[in-house]
Amino acid sequence: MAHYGAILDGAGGEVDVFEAITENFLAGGGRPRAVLDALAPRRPIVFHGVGLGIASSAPPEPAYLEAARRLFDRYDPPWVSDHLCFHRSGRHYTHDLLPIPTTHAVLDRVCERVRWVSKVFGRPFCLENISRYVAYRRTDMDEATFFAELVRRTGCGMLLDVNNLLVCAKNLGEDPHAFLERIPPGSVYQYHLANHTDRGTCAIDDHRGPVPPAVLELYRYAVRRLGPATTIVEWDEDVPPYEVLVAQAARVKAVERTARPSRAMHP
Amino acid sequence: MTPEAIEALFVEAVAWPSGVADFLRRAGERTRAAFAATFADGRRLHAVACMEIYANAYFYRIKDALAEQFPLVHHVLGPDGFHNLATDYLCLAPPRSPDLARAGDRLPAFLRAFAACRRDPPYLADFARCEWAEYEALVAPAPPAPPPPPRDPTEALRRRFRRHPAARLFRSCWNYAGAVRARARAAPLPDAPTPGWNLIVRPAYAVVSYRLAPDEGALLSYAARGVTFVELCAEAARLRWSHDRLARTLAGWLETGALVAETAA
Repeated sequence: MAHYGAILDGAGGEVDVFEAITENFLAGGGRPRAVLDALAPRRPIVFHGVGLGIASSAPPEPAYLEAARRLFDRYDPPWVSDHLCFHRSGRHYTHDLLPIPTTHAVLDRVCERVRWVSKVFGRPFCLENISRYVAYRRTDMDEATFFAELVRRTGCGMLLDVNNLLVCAKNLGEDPHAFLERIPPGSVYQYHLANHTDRGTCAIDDHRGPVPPAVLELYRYAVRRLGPATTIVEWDEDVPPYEVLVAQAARVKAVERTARPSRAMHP
Repeated sequence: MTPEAIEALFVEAVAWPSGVADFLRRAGERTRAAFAATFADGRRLHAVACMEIYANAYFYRIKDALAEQFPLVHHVLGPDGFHNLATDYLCLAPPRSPDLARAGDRLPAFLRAFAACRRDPPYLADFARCEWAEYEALVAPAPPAPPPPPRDPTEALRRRFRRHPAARLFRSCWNYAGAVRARARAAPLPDAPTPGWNLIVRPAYAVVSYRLAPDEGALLSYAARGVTFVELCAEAARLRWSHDRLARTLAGWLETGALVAETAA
C-alpha cells in the first residue's frame, strides 16, 4: 500500500506485471479495489493467494472460491496462483502455509482439487513451492517429484519460488539443484525471488531486503534449465522506496537475459 | 496416521498457547509417540524446535493483525495486556476464515462476554466494536450511483433513504471518536459515560468516526431503515426538530456518507 501513489502517478513504467495478494482484494470495495481499477488498464495483474490451502483435508469454502472467482473475472488475470500447502484443521485456520506430507494419497487429493479450482476460476492455475521448517518422516516421494506428477496429471502450472528452495536447503538439507532437475521444462509460469534471514539455527523466509546473490545465482540456473517466465520480486518487510524496488526488478531482468535471451514462455 | 490426523496434530501443536514443547509435556503418551513418528529433525534443529517456528508464526502473525485492526484496544491494554488478550482470544475463538483480515471478527463479542472476569475498562468492548466497524467500512462496497434529480416535488417527497454500505451506527455511552482524538493527542481517555451514538463512515476512501447526540443518533437510525422523506420529516417533528435543523443534519448525513438517497419507487 505504501507505493499505491507512486504507481498510479505514472511510475511503474519499468514494471511489466504487478502481483496482487488475492485475499487483500476479496472485499467488494474501498481504496484497494479502486487502485486495482486504476491499474488494470495499464498493466497486467496476476493474483496470488495465500488462503486456498489446496491440500487441506477439508475442501476450500465455496464462499471463498466464489469471491475469488468474481475478483478474477473482473480483472481477467492471465493466470492465478496459490501455494502447495495445507492451512487448517477442520475449521481452525492457521493463516500460515503448512507443509504437506508428500504421499500418494495427498497427491491424489491435490490433483482432484486442482482440477476443481481450475474449473471454478476458469483460467490457468499455478501452485508455488513453500518454505518449509519441518520435514515428515513418512513420505512416498520428494516435493519436486510431487510437483512434476501434479503438473503431468493436471496441467497445473508452477510458480517457482527460488528463495524458498534455498530456505528448504538450509533448514532441511535439501538439494535445490536436484529439485530443479525434476521439474518439467515449460511448466513454470512465474518465478518468485526474495531474501531470507539466516538466524544460524534456521533460515526464515521473511522477504526482508534485496534479493541476495545466492538466490540470483540459483534463479539463473533455473531459467537456463526451465526457461524464462514472468518474475516477481517479493519485499514485504522494511519496504524501501519505490525506486529501489524498480531497480531490483531491473537487476533481475539483467540476470534473466544472461541466462537465456529468449521470449517469455507465458504471457 | 491419516492426512487428517496429521493436520490435527500439527495445528493443535502450533496453536498451543505455551508452545509446542509444553504441548508435548502435557499430551498423552500416544500423542507424543505420534509426534515423534510424524515429524523429523531439521538440519540444525530438533523437530520440536522446528515446529516452534510455526507456533511463533501462528501467534504473532494473528496478534499483529489484531493490533493493526484494534489500535485503541491495544493502546488501552498496553503491549503485554494485548498479548494476553490475543492469547486468550485465540484459545477460545480460533480463526474461522481463510482471510487473515477477518481474524478479529469475534473480538468485540469476546471482550463483551468476558468483560467481568477480564476486568477491562467498561468502554473496551464498545471501542472494539467501533474498530471492527472501521475495518468493515474500509472494504465495504461503494454505494449505488445517486439517483437523478427529482422530476417533480412529489417524487422528492417519496424518495427513500438507506444506510450507506460503509456506514455503521451504534448506540453507546462511550465516545469513540473522542477517544480516538484523545489517543492522538496523548490525552486521557474518557472515564465518564454519556448518552449518545457512535457513527463510522467512509465517504471516499478514508474512514471517519463521529459522536452523535442521542436524538440525532435515534433519527439517523430511523432514517437508515429505508423511510421516505415524508416519514423522516414526521419523525423529526415528533422529536421537535426544526425544519432548519433537519435540513442541515440531513445534508450532513448525505455528505459524510451516513445515508444514501434512493430513487422513488
